Amino acid sequence: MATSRSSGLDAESRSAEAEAGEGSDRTAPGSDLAAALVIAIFAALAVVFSVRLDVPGSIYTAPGLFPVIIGSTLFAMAAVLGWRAIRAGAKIQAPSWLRSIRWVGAFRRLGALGRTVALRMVAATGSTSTGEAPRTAMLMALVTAYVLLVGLVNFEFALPLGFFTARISSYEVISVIMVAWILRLFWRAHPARCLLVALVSVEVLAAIFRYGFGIPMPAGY
Amino acid sequence: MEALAQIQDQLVLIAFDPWLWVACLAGVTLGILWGAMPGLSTTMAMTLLIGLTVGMSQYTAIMFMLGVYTGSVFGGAISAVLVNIPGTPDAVPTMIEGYRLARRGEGGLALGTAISASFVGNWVGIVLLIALIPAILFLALQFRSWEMFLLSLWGIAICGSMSSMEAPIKGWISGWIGLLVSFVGLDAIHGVSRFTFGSFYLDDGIGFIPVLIGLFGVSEILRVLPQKNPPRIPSDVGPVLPSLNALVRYLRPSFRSGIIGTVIGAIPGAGANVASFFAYDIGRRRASKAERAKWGKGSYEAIVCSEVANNANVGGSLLPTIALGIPGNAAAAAILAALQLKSVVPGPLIQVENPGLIYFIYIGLIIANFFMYGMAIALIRPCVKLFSLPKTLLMPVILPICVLGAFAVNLNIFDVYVMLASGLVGFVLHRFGFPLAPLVLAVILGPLADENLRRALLVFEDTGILTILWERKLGTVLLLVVLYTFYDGIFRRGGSRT
Repeated sequence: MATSRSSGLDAESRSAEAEAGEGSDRTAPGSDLAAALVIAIFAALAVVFSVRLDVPGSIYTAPGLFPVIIGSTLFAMAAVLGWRAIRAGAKIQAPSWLRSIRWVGAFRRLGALGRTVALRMVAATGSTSTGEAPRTAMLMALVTAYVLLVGLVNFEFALPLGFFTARISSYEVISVIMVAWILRLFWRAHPARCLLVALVSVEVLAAIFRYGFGIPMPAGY
Repeated sequence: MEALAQIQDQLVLIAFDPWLWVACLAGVTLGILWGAMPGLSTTMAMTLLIGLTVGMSQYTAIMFMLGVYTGSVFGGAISAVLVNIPGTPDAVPTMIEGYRLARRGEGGLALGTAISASFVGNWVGIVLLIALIPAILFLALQFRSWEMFLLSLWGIAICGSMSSMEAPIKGWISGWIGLLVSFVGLDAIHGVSRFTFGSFYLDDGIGFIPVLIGLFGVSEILRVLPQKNPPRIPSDVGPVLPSLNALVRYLRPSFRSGIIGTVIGAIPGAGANVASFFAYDIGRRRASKAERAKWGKGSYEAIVCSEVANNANVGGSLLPTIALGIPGNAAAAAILAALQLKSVVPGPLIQVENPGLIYFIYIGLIIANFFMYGMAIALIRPCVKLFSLPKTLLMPVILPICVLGAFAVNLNIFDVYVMLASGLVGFVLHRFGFPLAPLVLAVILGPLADENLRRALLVFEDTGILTILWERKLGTVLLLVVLYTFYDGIFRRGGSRT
């Protein structure tokens, strides 16, 4: 059941995107509704945190004044976006198992909203063609891991080569490994070829930044 | 006389510093290569290559970025004509016409026409920039807190509505999210921590360069790399240079499209893509009956209209960037970032704080334009070879550039985390149909708007609204313009959509 619903959402997103064309801001009404809900929550939180800020001087110079105005108007815009999406045919539907439990009452609507948001998020961020969603998720995980590793691992080797001291930092080592891995997964060339491309590109880049512009590598300071 | 002396000083400075020429040539070359890669935008080129300017002197950095800007705007035409994929969004009209010509075996000539049109477009933009900037500088000095707040708000509002033509509300939402992001950190008036949640790293605020790189670099990688069948590029180009007669024939549409490109460029938020489509549309309406029949089926005049407009946009977008400190588009925001990195604060006082710098920028644009023409001709064949590489090979190689670009600005790893977060958010926002340019502009303009609004309110504390409206006429005009922008977006375009 869940699969067919997801497929339906995918199809809806695909058809809307295909109709709108590349780079268009037209999306399926369901996606707009989900986005509106998330933005409304974000805006409401911004207003709450802004109101709680200290007011050291006049109310006119209060640090939270402009954020309150922006948060409130963002909430209003999210409401308009959601209202337009509902008018365009977006539906808030409770899952069948939840509909069968009468006593849930107000929570039923909330659960339905959460489910709609989650499904739309998966449909919109996932893909427009079959099998792209897992590849996107995998790439996101790899890019995140790459950035975290660059931030957490910190070392640098110095190799004296007579007149010149070559330096190899953790950034270069991590970059070569991760770029080679991503190349292997998406370019699908031989591992040795991926490693060679990653090694050459990262070292050329590092040399330009380090020796050309005097900028240390992320771990080299 | 003072202006002439300053121009002379800048000419001497440029003539005797070979590094400025080298930086400009390198910038143009990298810009063309970058812009020509399918899907890699001018903004992405500008934001990623900003990192390279960190170790450069002020003048070298400006020359390099002007070269990148000029080169990358043209570069978009190469892949558009050869492979039916626009390198940059503003090259879409060129793609529509050029690819049809390429299929008839006239791809080289179509590209040559695009190069010549870009050259002419840049000249129109530069001439109008030189002619209009004194007037805009005079006007800029009339701006105080209230006017600056309204101008910032208008920039974000119009960027939102222009970059999200069908649903301006999405553009505004994107801009408003950017404003909230810009509030993070210590506030400028009282030094109160806002939205930092006790984090020491957030006290300094969120830098807009990592946000730029994340939104346009990382999110692009996340979008493109997972695609299963990225298109391949053919390698044969054919003849390149058009005849002089052909160029003379298109002088009139060139001039018209140049004015359109410059004026649209001067409006904050309205980028080269709006300019090229607008000029393309006006060009079709003004073309002869015979030429109009070719429109959409392979028209050289259409290529001229589109390319002149998007290149004239370079000069146009630098108008508000230099004179008011408000970037004309996201790419000009990167120029703004490069200037600020070198302790230059663009705006009404630029001629006071950095005398002669404006003239340096004029001369830099002219040199970049000549380099662009020469390099474009020379780089066409190598570019074609480069684009025959699959995107699955190119995109992973770009990832370390993003990381280094974000890190190099403050030598702070936190900026790399900000870049990653911006990339993920940008990816999601793009999937949901929200344009990213307003978000970036708002992150840049947010502090300006916030500080000036509160200052203005303090000044107006004991003044009646009618008095303010009457005494601050420029502010009243701007207020009406802001209100009209929202009215136009909500009732005219919003209404027509539904």
